[in-house]
Parts: sequence; C-alpha cells; structure tokens
Amino acid sequence: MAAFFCFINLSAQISPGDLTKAHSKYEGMSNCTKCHELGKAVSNNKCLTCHKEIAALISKERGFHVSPEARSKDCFSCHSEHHGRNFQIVRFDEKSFDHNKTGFKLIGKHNQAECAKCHKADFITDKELKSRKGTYLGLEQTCLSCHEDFHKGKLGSECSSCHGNDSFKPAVNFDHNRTKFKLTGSHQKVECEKCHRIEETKEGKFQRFTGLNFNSCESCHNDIHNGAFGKSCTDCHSTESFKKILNIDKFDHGKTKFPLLGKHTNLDCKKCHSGGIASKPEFEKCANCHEDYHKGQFSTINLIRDCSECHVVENFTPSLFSITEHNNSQFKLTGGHLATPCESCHLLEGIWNFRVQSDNCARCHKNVHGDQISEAYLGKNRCENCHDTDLWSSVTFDHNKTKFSLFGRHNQIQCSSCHIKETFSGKKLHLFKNLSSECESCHSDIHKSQFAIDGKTDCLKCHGFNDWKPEKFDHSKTKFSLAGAHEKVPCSECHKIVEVSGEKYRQFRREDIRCIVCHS
Amino acid sequence: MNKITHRIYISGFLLISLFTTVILVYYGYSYYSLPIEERFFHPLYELLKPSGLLGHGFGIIGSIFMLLGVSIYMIRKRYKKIFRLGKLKHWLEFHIFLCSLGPILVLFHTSFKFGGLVSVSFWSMVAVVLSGVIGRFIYIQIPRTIQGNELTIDDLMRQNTSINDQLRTEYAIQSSTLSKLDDAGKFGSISRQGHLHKLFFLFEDKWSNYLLLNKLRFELKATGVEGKDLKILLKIIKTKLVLQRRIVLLSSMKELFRYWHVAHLPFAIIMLIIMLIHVGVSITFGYTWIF
Repeated sequence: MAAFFCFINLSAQISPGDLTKAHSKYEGMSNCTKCHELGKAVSNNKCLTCHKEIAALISKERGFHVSPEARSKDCFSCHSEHHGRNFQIVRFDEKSFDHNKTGFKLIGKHNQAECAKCHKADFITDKELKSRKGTYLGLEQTCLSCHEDFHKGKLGSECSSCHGNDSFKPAVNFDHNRTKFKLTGSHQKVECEKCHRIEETKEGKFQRFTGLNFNSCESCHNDIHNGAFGKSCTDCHSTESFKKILNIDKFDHGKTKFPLLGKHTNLDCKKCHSGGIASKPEFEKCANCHEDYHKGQFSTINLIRDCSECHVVENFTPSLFSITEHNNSQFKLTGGHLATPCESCHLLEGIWNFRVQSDNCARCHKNVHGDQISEAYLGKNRCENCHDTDLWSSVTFDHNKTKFSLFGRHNQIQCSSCHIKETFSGKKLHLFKNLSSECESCHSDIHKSQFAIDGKTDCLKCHGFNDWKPEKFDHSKTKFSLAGAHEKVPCSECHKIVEVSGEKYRQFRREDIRCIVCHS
Repeated sequence: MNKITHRIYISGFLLISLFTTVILVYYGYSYYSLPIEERFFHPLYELLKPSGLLGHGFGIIGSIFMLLGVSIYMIRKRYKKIFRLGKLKHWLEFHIFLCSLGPILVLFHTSFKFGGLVSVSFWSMVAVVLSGVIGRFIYIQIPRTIQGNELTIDDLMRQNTSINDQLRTEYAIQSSTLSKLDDAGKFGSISRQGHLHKLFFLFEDKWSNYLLLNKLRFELKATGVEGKDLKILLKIIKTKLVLQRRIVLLSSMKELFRYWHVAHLPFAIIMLIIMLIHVGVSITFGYTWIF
C-alpha cells in the first residue's frame, strides 16, 4: 500500500478532474492557486489575471462579458473546469446565441452570415488571439476590421454613414445632397458608376468618389458640340434633361453646323426639332426636313443631289435651275425652248413634273399634222425630223426623201402652200400622207383640161418648175407649126380668151387651124 | 428488541438504503449517465455536481454517516461501561446500515467520477464495505453470546451434546439418524487444511447439509413426523449441523477474523485519512457547502 502511494504523483491527485486542453499546462498541485483563491473557491480576478483580453474588454465596457447576463455571473458559472481534457470550456450554440449581448447588434446581412465569416483569424489583429483556434474574441466593431475598404481609404472609416447593413449597394444612408454636388434632375436617376467610374488599378478595381471635377460638366459628359458653344453647358442645358434647352430664345443657331438662313430664320424650332429641342435632326439634305415637293423625281437622277442645287432658303421659288443646268440634262434647251417658261413643259394639269420624256415632242406639242405624217418620216413623234426648236416654220425636211422631189419654184415656196389647205369653214387641213404628186392636186388647171389626155393633164409636158412659162412647149410639135410672122405674133393674138359655160379661159387647143379662123 | 422489532429494525435500514439509492438514481440518472464532459451543461449540474448543493451534501452526510457508524460501533464494542446499551449485534447492524448508506451517498457525491487522490479514499471505502460484507460472513461463523462474546470450543461441544439429548429425548430420533448427523460432523483432516481450503469447505458443507436435510425430511415424514414438529425438528437438526461445522472451523474462523481486522481497519483508516485531506483541501479552497 505504501508502495502504491509512493508511485502516485500526489501533486496531481487532489485535482477533482483533468483540466481542459487549454488549461492542461496548469495541471498539478502547485498550480491550484493560479485559479483558486484559498477560502474563496475560484475568483474572477484570478481568471482575468490570465485572460487579459477579457479583462481589457470588460474595462472598456465592451463585449459579451459586460452584458447584464454575463456581468452578474462568475466566470466559472459558464466556464467550468476539471471536466476532462475534452471538455468544451467555451461552448455556445452559434444558432441561438444572442449576438446583441456582445454590444454589436447583428443587423441586416450580418444576421445571415455564418459566424466564421467574421470570427476568423484574418480579421483579428492581436497576435495572441489571432493564433487561437476558434476564438470569438479579437474583433473590432469597426466595419473595416472585417470588410475590405472598397474606397481605399479615400472616404474615411465611417462606412455606416453611407452604407446600410442589408447590402453594400445601394448606399442607403448616403445622401448625395449632403455633398458639394447635389443631385438634381436626371442626375438622380443615373447609375452611380456613370459618374463614379470604376477604374482598374494595381490594387484591383477602384471606384472613384473623390477628386471628381464636378464643377465641369465635361468631366463626365462628352461635349457633343466639340466646344462650339463654349464650356458653360448650363447656359443651355439643365439637369432635367439634356434635351430640355434653356434660354432657347438666346440660342445662337449660327454656332451650329446649320446656321439658320432665309426662311429658316423665322421657323418655329419644333418644325425641325420635332423630337425635342435638343434632338439632332439630320440636316445634310433638305429632304431631311422638307417634304420632297417633286415626289422623288430627282432622287434617282445623279445629276441632282439636293434641293439646294435648285432652291435657296430665301424662297422655294424661283429655282436656281437655269438653262445651263437644263442643258446638262438629257434635254438641252435650244431655240424656242429657251424662251419657254418652265411650266409650259413641266406643269401639267397643275402638277410639276420634271421627269419628262424628252424624246416625245408630242408630250408638249400638239401634232398639228394629225395623222398626215407617216411613221416613215415622223418616227415616234420625232418632230425634229422636220422641225427645229428655233422656229416652227423653219422646216429642215429633205423633201427629196419623198417620192416628190422639189425642184425650181417648189423649193422656194412655203410648205403650207402645198400641205395646208383651208376649208371653207376656215379650218386648215394638213395634207402630207395623202397628198397626190399630181400637179392638179395643188395647182388649178387654168387651161380647163384643154391638154388633158384621157382626163389627165400632164402639166410637165409644157411647164417646168422654175416658172409658169411653158418652157417645154414647142409649137412646132403641134399641128400648127409657127413660122414666119407667126413667130413674132403674141400668143394672145391667136389664143383668145373665151367664155364657155360662164368660165373664161384662154383657148390654146384649137381644132380649127385654118387661117381664116384668125385672119379675116 | 424482540424478533419482530428486530425485523422492522433491519427492514427499516434496508428500505432506507434502497429507497435512497432508487431516489438518487431516478432523480439523477440523466445527469450521472452523461459523459463527464457533458455534465456541466446538464440542468442538474449545479445541484448534483460534487460541490453542488445536493452533491456536496451527499458527500458530507455520507461521510458523517460513515464516521458515525464506525465510531459508535467501536465505542460500543470497546467501552465496557456501555456493554449493556443494546445488543452488540444490533449495533453492528446499525454500523452496517450507516456504513452502507454512507458510501452510497458518497458514491453519488463523487457523481461516479473516480480520479485523483480522493479516488483512493473512495476505493478504500469500497474495500472497507466489501471487506465488511466478508467480515460479516466470517463474523457469523463464530458463535457468540447474546452480548457478542465469542464462545469457546467447549461451549460449542456442550451445545452439541445438549442438542443430541434434546433430539433423543424430546423427538425420539432414532439412533441411526442421530449417527448420520454425527457422521456429518466428522470432517476428517479438514482441521489441518489451510484457511482458503476451509472457506471452500464451508460452502461445500453448506451444500451437503442442504442435501442431507432434504433427505432427512423425507425420512422423518416416513416415520410420521409432520407439520410444525417436522419444521422444528429440521431446524434443530440444521442447528446441530451448523454447530458441528462451526466447531470444526472455529479456530480457523477466529484466526481469519483476526486477519480480516488487519485488512478492514487499514482500508478504513486510509479512507478516513484521504477523506480528511479531501475535506481539508475543499475547505481550504473555499468549498464549504452551505456553511
């Protein structure tokens, strides 16, 4: 028995049980008074002598141990000992623990976070506590002790002055109006990142909230006017809307790329800026604003590119389109067309038409010839085959192309002499196609068919084309050949005017050629 | 104290011990059955922990019971002035009661956590209790007077002769039957055997006597002895058989009982010393229960 006691380590035998792992180094009788105070069981002072971190918190009136629940208790009432190595001297249910008792109320997202999200070594600054596994001590209550400073120290450490506990974004406590740049108008609707841009820095992404040149609109907005209106955007724009223009009456349109000239000067802005005063209507072409009066007649013609080539801002009419321009078209103006008013050709039935078929004279001109000109000569209303634009009467037709070549006096007379005949009613009939080449179709037979053979008189037997003289007539080829004095006698001496049936004519055909007929 | 009063006396002790045990087990089972590491978090921890109101009380009351049980028995046994104060047997039973209930309370004081120096005290206490049970067994093998004084071998021989006469004269036991009983008391060389052997013999003889009594029961019935007479006769025969065995074992049992004291007392002293240390340390560290 004595030997039994000899081998017992007496120093360890008065302990009522093993200490926890954390306190295991204090096993042994010599260490009893490290925790126990003689005659006073376990005193809190002994505990706090070692647990300086708790003592420090208590002295600062911080942490769970100064809560009413904990303050009234002895340390050992929660943190008992001598229950074995594996005893959990600190044990609490994370789910049921009322964190509010620690002095740090869990609000918003903090309520949903796992304990270990905050209570981890990364957030503990104290070296000794940092090395403690699973400790809930060592955290500060400042946001930045756990949260990364998104603003890289630029906005101080009072995160809660802007951010709530439910989410980092939006910064519900932040009132932009407390800043030097009050948000008004559309600025209130703009995403923060639009002005407070996220930049890539060496340390990662950084959103700038300070150092912004908010006095200048250009620090955030692009000057779409490229400086044309100066730097004072607010002279014309408000934060309500970029498109809502201030002091519109004072706006100098001349600074734009489209200075207002002519009729544009007096126009109501909305006439062009129908999408709002700040809308940017296309202005390169007049048709951007103006209805195409000509209904697209010029849109496919390369020659005409814009209204302004013909029209000016002072007035729609007169047009700048001159003869020179017209002559650049397919239909060059010549002759009488030069003096012809535009509307004569282009205003048809009250509608301006500039897409005129230029090779059809009949579109403008009436074909006075009716159907008398055969297609062989007229073509498809190709009046120019005979006429030119200088003068209607100036006909350049080569009559020799017809079956009736013009000789002698026929070359000198008016076309109308042969081709136009006036009816009794005064109506002029054009005769071309059906005009006979017989002389009698134009000329009257003053000889009253005296020379007709089988009812037809061939004038050309006696007459030429130069004059009416019967130059071809040879009296010697008649039954009465002239000889002697007869050659000197005027024709009228022998060929007297006779009246037969009321018609008078000179009688050349004489059946009775006896001398007595003329000579008494 | 008559027989019925003694039975109530004994039953009272037994019931109190059992009732106390059952109540404490029933009340504290959920706590005591927990692993040591979990008990702190049990609602009854503050009450049932060794330094708790109840747990500490169990230890103090149990210790007082044991100290009281030992001291009053020792005083009663050793001081001749109070020899007439009740039968020693009853004091022994009271000693056994207090020294049984005391350890039960101390057991619950430990909350079944055995470790450290105080565990030596505890196991010493267990040893004292167990040795007490053995001692009680040896004790009853040594016939005594009503006042508890040991009888001599001659006293026993005279008792045996007296029983023989009683059987012969009052119950007319046949001499052949009486011879059988006498033969059962001739144990040959057992008196020269060692103590351990004698202990085995004791149990073996108990069994032999049991078989013999059954056999005699049938034989006596066959001779017409029945009812109460048979019961009384068998009791006398049993007394004779036990007496014969005790005569043979008397010297050995007395010797064993002396040895038993050597074991029982030191364990008690060890228990006491360490208990005092334990109490002293507890008080030193401020665990004073309700005081």
